[in-house]
Amino acid sequence: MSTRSPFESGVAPEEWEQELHALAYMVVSRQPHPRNLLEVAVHLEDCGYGGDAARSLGFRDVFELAEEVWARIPLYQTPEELTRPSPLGWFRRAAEQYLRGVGYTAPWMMSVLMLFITRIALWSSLSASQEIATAVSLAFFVATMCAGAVSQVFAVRALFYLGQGNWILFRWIATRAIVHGSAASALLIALVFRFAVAPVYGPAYGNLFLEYAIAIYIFQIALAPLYLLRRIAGLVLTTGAALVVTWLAIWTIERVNAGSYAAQAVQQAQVLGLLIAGAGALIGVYSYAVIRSRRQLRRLLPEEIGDGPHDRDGEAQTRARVQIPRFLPVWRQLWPYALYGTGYFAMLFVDRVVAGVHFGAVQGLAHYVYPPTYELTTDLATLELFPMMGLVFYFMTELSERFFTWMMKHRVTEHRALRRTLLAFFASRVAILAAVGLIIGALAPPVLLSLPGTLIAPILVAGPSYQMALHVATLVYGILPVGLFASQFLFFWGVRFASALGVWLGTAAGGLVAALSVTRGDAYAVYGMVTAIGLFTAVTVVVGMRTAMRGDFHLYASH
Amino acid sequence: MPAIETSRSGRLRYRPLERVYLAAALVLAALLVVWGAAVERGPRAVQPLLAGPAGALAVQSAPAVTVFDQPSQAPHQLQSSTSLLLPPYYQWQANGSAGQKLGFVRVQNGYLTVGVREGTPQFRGYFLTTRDPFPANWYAHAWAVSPPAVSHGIGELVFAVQTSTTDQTGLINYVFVSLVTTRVHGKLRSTWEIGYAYGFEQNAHSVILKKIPGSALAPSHGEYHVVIWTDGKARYRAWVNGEQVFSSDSLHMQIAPPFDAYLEVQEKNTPYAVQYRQFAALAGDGVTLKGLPDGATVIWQGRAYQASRGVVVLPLSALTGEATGSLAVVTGGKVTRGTVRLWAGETLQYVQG
Repeated sequence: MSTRSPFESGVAPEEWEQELHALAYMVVSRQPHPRNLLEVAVHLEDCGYGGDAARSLGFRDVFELAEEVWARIPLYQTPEELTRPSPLGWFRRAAEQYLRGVGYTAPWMMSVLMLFITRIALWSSLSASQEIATAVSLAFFVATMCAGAVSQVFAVRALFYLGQGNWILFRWIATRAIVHGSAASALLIALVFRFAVAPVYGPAYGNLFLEYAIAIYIFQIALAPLYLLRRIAGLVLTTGAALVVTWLAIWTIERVNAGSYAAQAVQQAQVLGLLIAGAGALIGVYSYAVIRSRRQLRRLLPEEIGDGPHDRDGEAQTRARVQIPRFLPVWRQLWPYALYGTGYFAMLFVDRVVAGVHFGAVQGLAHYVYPPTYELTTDLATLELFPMMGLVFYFMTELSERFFTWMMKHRVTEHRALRRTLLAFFASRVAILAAVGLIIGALAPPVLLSLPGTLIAPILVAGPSYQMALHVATLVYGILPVGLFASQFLFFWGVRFASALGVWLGTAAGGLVAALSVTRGDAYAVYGMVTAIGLFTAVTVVVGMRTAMRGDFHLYASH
Repeated sequence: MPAIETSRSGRLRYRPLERVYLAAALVLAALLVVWGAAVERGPRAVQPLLAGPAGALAVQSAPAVTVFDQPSQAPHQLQSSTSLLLPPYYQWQANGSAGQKLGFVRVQNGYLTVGVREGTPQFRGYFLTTRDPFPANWYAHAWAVSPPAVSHGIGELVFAVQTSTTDQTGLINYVFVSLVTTRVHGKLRSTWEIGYAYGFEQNAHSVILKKIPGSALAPSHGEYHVVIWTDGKARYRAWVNGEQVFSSDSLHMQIAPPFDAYLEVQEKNTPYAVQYRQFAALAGDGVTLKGLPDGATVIWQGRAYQASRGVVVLPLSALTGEATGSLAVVTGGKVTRGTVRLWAGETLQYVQG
């Protein structure tokens, strides 16, 4: 309990007490069962009781005010309905969360499956020529790095607003992060085109780069809100639409051109599929957000909005005043997340780019050329991430659920107990992820190498160095979820810079190691991957440990 | 500062600075794309073919020509492929049923040698094939040294033009001109075979359209100049040393363009190797000189051609392929002159001196 009193504020004690009761009532009227102090603080701030209001009532900040309000909240609450927990509750919940996490990989799984069956999926094609594969691959790298930054910025803030059920501000961040981010992405894609693609590759491949970069970017950005809203069906639908449109387009173009246009048909159809499905999903999600925010507006301000029975014919409708945050202050908080989003994919691509540059060099070219066997080897290794992503998601959901219990159980001043709990949670989850990842990584190569020969023939033909690369890559991708979990853990506590530092350190060191090792052959670029992912994981785990030991401090600092 | 919203739509208007940022970013992106497009379509810095007081001539678009005039380095493997690269001839790759142990390729003393080291009971071959395919209706030229005799078995020099879509379709449809050398009752016999093949790799069928005794076509300076032209569907023509050896407009070949050329050897029961001096894939007749100043005259092999709208087309048959001679550009009383080798289908750009 706070030791503050009305005497420090200069407000009369009765008024001070009344004000706190009014605030408790206000919070409960917005959220009947706030789960912790933070949520109370968020609602107070959302209603205009920020730092200034808190200080005028004699508190240091809104969190201290929230403590006083929190103490009065039970007076205005109706008891929650008690439900007897099912004996299977934990297992069911765990299974559900795990499967949901696995479900998030649905677009990826669908495209891999389609690629294996039909040799064409989303932007991939197993029979593309070297030049086309190079242009598409470069487009994928650039588009994914851009989409990574925009999705991170959007996700971090949108999650915050969704937590409050604030659809108006969800829409606001959706338009600001995605529209502003897309403008910056367009600029970056154009810069890469002008300075890295146009002077090096021919006009046909430059155009292909631009088309694919835009299409892939739109498709990936369209998936971001669906991930955030946990719409697995939407993810499946969007990916399915892209694949179906692609196939319909290939069939139509080939039919119209009597089969003599096959290579171009694939590219045009893929771009069409990505654009139609991506734009459709974006429009769908935005429309959904508009409907939800309108409902919210009606609920909050029915008399001002003049909807429904309040409408009077012939009378101009009143305007609702909604305070829109300014983007710049929000951006100042969010830019490390953008740095992380870009860097994460830079870290994953760095060894591939180095292998591609080396592959170009062995063909007498002074630029990146798509290295098919190295890509196939590392892509195969990523398949083991399917089961691992479910675990990462489960542990993060577990953290957010258990965190509320800890916040109920521990006072904010009980540092040691809370820190011990946090540390034990983090360390144990990291250990489990690492153990499972390494086991899967060790077991995966024989399974992957027993896939149909048509798929893995290039690896078998290319010799032992690529099989070594596959073994190393599966182990490294087994460790990657540890870094992912640690970075999400850090974001949860509002630690913004460590993950970004980890990915960019990993990218720089990984690129250097890959460049040094690739002289023995393209397959040895995998050591760059080891360095990049290893460094990222090490940095995030170490900082994660430190954060867990001072979690409460970080939580407050971040807010 | 709070913004004002309309009631029904709940619109979240952009602030003026946001609008400026969006417009600036998009305009800048568009400008960069236009700039990039101009850069990639613009003329690339090339070594002028001819330079002098009356300006220079640079190759703007060159046909696909490989002259095997530099010694090759050790072949090395290309990832994702069983093929070998032969530095510095990066636009070619080596492969064949003889495999890397028996088959070999190397360039020495101005000739490419493609061979199989040991005889095999079944036909085995090795080849060097283009990695940058060329379109249908182009003229594929190969200058091959008259192949060696065999003491036993069968040796073949094969020049083939094959669909480059094999990776996508599995079909190896191609046309070929081959010179088969063998011994019949101890007597050496050479036969030209012209034909096409179709089907999937293991089950391809070959159709021999015409056979000509080797003696009917004498080598010129110890070489055969073989030219193949096809649309991949019904039309196929072949020439050896300028003489048309086959022509048909009514075939059913289904060779999907673009095409790759194969400089190949085949053997049965004998080690065998053949040699090639150069290769070219040419689009058509004539050499185009563009961007010439008004009143300019081009003198090629002693004959003058007046520029019309800045363009002169020098006569050079796609069948002949190459020609070496004296070329001069005369403009404003100045002359740029030199001896050059031109290829049919080539485009040269005039650059002001």
